[in-house]
Amino acid sequence: MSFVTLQKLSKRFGDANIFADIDLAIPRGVMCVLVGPSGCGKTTLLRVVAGLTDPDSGRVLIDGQDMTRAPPQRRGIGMVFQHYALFPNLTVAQNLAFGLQQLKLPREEIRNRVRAMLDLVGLMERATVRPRVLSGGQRQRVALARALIMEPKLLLFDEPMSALDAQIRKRLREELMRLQRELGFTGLFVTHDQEEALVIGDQIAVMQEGRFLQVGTPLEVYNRPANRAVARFIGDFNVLEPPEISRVFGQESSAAWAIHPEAVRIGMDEGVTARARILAVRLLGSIVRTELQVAGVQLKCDALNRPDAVQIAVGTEVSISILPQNIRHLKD
Amino acid sequence: MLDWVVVTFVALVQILPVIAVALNAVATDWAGSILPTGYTWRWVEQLLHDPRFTVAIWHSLVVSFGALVIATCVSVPAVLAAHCYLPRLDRWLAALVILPYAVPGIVLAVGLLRLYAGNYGVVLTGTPWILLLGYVPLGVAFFYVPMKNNLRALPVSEFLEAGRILGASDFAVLRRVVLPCVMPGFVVGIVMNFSLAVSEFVYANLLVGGSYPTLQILMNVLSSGSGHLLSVLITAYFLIVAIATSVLLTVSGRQDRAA
Repeated sequence: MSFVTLQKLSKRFGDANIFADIDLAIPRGVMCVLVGPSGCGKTTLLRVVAGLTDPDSGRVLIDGQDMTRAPPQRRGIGMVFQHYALFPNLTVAQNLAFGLQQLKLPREEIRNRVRAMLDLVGLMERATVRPRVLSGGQRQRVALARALIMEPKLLLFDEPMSALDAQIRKRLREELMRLQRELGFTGLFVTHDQEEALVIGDQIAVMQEGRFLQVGTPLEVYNRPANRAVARFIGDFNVLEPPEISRVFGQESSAAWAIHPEAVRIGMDEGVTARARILAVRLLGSIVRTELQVAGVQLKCDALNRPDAVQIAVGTEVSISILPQNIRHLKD
Repeated sequence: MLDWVVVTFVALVQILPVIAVALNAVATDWAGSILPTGYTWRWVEQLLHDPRFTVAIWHSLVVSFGALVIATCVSVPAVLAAHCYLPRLDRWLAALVILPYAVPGIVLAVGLLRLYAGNYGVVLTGTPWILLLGYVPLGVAFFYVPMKNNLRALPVSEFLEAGRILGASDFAVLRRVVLPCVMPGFVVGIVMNFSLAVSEFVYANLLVGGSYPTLQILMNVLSSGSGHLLSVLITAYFLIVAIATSVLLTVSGRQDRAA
């Protein structure tokens, strides 16, 4: 049985339909990531789950209880906001204690829980400073600690890492995953970053224009995209329409093909093959991305950045091949 | 170096009239010379023994602090409520707070007299209440403008939402988070309100006049007599404003740091 269930949820703002008849089930202890382009309705959906926005219709069930009209404080949730929403006049420790004080817990218990949480997120030395002197990453950890200290049944994240630079984002992702492993909370994480979704999520719900295009594990969504939109958004696939397939590979197909960049192999002739010209070679850290052109169609090819690999010059003609099992046929 | 010269020059230009008035308050005679020819406490003693002086100080303090309390109670919740919950109303409030300054003082005073003369069932003419309530609309702008500037820099909706999820009422978030954050604007509002009420003459003269003489009305009376006595009164006025402002700033500053 799922821990969070969204049933037939709909929301409109004036004439704009944000989402309609949305269903989603999140099992207990799972980090579900809502991923989609800006304006697809993912933040509004998160706010509906949080109780900060009322749905027009449908139900929100948390731990089996209907929470559709319950105020946020009765839902047993925690939330990490996009811009953290830390209280600037309170110290880090006071920010963490704020929620516990509302529960009228004894001072000693509050002090102990704050200390334990500061220890957990590695901010013990920053307990007495105010948020304005913290770095972006530290603020994010305070925001996370402030949500976690309430021991919520469900933790919501509204693009919490969008304002951070890549290096800090990577570190925080790892820290978030560690905390989730240790504490086992159920999470709903909103992001527009596909890579972040694949790394953090146990379950991924790809959203576009107010509907779910695909819900599944990261591997399912990445390896078996349900349609063109998911393929283009999540996997950075090469998506070829039937006329392009005919031009590039000389094969007829009624469905579009989705091919991962890493499935395109240069200098091999096993599977479907073609001759391509190299347009550009870019280094993406451990990956080398080669942009190819075949019969007016551009393809991306990713290969491991091996130190012993021979770099092929731009403009060179090469043969490329794709194994048939690496081609995903898309009907939609 | 040049900075200090400029700052010193500006400070001197600003403070020189105050020093001149203070010197005149203790001068035996001052005409045709840079400094007084002699000094005396006679004028100070004379004014301190004048019963009108203590009454005027008392009246000014009652009116100033009274207007300050009412303006604070009316303005601060209104500014916060409009900003947090009624953004549409906020635009109207912005126009409304400057309205008293768009109307000539005499017109507003006549309006207040008609309003509180019993035409609408409320009779306040001749009492300090009419002056007190007359100052309140003037003082709202002094809270609205600086507090609104502070509020614009804060994500208040996010604070309220974060508070709700943490189990706090909106009132608790406003009291513990938003209000301390807008404290600088609030302090400016308090000081400006107090200064306005304690130094105002036009409304005081038109609305209450001799029936409730304030420091400014006494100054007007003394202006036709001894210049030395008037200087003592003005110096006393400066001291009262300086002390009251310092107290307000200290108290507000402490609250700000405590928050």
